[in-house]
Amino acid sequence: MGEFVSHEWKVIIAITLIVLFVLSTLLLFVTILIIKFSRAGRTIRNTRFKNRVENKLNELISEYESHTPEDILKIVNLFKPVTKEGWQKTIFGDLLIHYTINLTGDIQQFLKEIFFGLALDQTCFQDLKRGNVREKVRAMRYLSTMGYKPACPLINKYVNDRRKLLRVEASLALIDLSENQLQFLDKLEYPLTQWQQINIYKKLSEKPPESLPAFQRWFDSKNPSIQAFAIEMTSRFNQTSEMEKLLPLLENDSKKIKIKAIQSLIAFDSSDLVPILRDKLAICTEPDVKIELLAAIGSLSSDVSDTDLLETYLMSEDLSVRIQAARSILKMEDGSTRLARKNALYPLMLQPVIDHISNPLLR
Amino acid sequence: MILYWFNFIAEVLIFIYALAIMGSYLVLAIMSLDEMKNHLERSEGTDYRAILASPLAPKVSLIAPAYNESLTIIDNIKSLLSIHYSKFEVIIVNDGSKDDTIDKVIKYFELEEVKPVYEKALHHKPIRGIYKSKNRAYKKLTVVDKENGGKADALNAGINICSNDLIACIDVDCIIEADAILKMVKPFLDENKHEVIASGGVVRIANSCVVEDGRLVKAKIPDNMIARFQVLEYIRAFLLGRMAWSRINGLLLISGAFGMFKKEIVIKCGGYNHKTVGEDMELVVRMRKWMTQNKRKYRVSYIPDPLCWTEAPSTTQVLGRQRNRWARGTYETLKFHKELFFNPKYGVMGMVSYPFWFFFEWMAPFIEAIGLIYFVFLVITGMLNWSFFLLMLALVYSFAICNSFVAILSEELSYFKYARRNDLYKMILTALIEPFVYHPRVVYWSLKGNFDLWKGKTSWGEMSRSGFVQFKKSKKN
Repeated sequence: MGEFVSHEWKVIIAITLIVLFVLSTLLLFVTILIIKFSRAGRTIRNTRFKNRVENKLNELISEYESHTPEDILKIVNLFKPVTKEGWQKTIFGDLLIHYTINLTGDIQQFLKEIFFGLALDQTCFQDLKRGNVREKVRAMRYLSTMGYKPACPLINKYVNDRRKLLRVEASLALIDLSENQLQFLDKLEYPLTQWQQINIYKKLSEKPPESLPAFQRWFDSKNPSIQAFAIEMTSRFNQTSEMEKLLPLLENDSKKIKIKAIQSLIAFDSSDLVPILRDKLAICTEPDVKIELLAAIGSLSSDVSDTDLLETYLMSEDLSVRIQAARSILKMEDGSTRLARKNALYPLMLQPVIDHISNPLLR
Repeated sequence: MILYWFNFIAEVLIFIYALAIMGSYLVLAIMSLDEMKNHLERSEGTDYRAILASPLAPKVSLIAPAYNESLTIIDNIKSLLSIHYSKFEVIIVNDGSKDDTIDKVIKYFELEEVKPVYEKALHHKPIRGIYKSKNRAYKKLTVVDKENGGKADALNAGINICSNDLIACIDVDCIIEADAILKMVKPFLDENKHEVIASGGVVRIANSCVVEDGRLVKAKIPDNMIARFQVLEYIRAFLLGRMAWSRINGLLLISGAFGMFKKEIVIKCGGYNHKTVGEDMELVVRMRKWMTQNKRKYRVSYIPDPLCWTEAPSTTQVLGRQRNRWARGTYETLKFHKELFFNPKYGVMGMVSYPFWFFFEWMAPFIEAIGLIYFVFLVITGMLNWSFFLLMLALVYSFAICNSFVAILSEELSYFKYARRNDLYKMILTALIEPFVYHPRVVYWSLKGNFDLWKGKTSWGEMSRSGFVQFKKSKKN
């Protein structure tokens, strides 16, 4: 130990750290082994339990004719003893949700009554208030599938949660539960992410179109992502009565909004709007927007004189603009002849573009 | 007296360096575990199926350079074409292969030459031909045949030709999980206040794993020891290191084997750099720099899910060449962007990530080598304090084991891809012997890489692989 004297402070630090690392390693080793072994046991236990309750549920569903409150009480009493633990509630809840989504009519109602009879809604409430992210998400899914409207005020609190996952889940649940499906958009403080938009669109697609709100309501939203979403939904759900209201959006500062508005106008297939699009094209400086306007004129116009206008863009410096102009000309009456004539004058510039757009393999 | 002070200062410096490196790895490990917990919570509640059929889903271009891949190219392309995503195109860039890669592809996929017009935004070697398939089943496939110019060059050609806003750059011989693109796309869709410019995923070792129809069906710890060491090394790097860097938005490297980028930003900052063999890291650093210089808020995202499986070198020669290249790539990237060093203008990248890479990634092999030379010097001069030396050795060893065990725990808590108990024991054993058997070689290859760079070596280095065919044969194992 005498040799250590000159290294005293280093020795103290080193020995402390070694002891720390060795103990940590041992602890980690034991933890790893416990996880490995307990996981196998847990998987077997969960599978067995799932099979058991699944068989019982299948039996009840296949023998189902009608149900009375007494029947429900009997079934609830049957399942109560096996859904005491948290993990049992989760497995059983997942099964009930799965069947509720996939079945309709009286059987669906029957399953919902089992859910409420077992007070799983109360568990969901507890999870929503005090659970972790995973539990909160599950609770919102359960409650929205079961159509439990009293949960709305509580779920509403998560519309502006700092955690994105909870925001998405809350918005999806409210579409199912709230009277005004998309009212949450009015108070959304965060951007409506593209992921959220995809999920909301999926949810809305499952609803009858007549039950959907008029999306123009959000055209002047202060949140640009909501504006873009509303424009997209207007055309996706073919709300043609909103078409006129899209026009002011062509003046919007955001390139994205302008593009979405033009794309929606194309989807509505309205030739009355061509003069406006023509004017916009004349003053447009953004290549991306120009491309959309060219596409719109090509799709909507039946006026041969528009071909002259489109031809001027065949000489654009931007390759994408040239390609779109050529594509749009091809859609016009006599377009292919006009394009061939122009190509004869400027073959170096136009021939590759024509080859590109006319090759079916490149479409 | 001078010798005494020299001795004292050297010991203190090495000791402090060792403490700093251990401390930083410890902090990274703790941050990783916490981030992993958050990620698992988030991903468990995420339903990726929503993107699958959505017309709102973004289009993705998968770009895979191929060089002398004749043996496996058909299977590889078929595997890429069968990923779970609806709106994508696959662009295979044949980088002047010397074998019959291109002929095989043309014949099998019934390709026909086309002449698309596209913006030549990035520089690359001349293209000999661009092909599309006449067969509707392969309409998502585009094959580019070009003169040899290296991986960066081939990727640039693919980026020019691709038509989508998101690009996934992939090594053609990697096995991609079927839902890899779904998961990689998500951070781009989820961007909030910060624009996501790139996203990386975990790369795992596929040696000895069971592969069927281009998909990995069972993960196993490799039989080959060299590959086995790399399994542990990759778990440490991807689950502990990068996860933590991602949390503080300090990630500098997205693996060249599989990464997704915003095409607009890649093009604006000049695409892949031909002048380095570490083009993957260099691109990420340049993209980040560009975003900061243009005052755009951004994130480089990271997904800890195992999305991509690659065949690791199984001989010391090939591994040595790979590590040599990595060392050169690291130095080149650090050198190209030296203005980042402790530059507060670049935030976390300038103040934390770059210095970390400089001191603990690039400099570490030099410090270890100096330590070794110093040890020899002390032995020769009879000045070595053996007790203290052994104590230091025990400290470094115990730390190395502890760090590896944290990585194994992280794997067991998250994805537990190696389901068999035997695999766990093998991994633990590997962790115990790695510091003595594997680590010194890695240090040697890194030093040699830096030395080769100083001599002017710029070549990529031949990377011979066994290919998936062998994995297929192991199906019945």
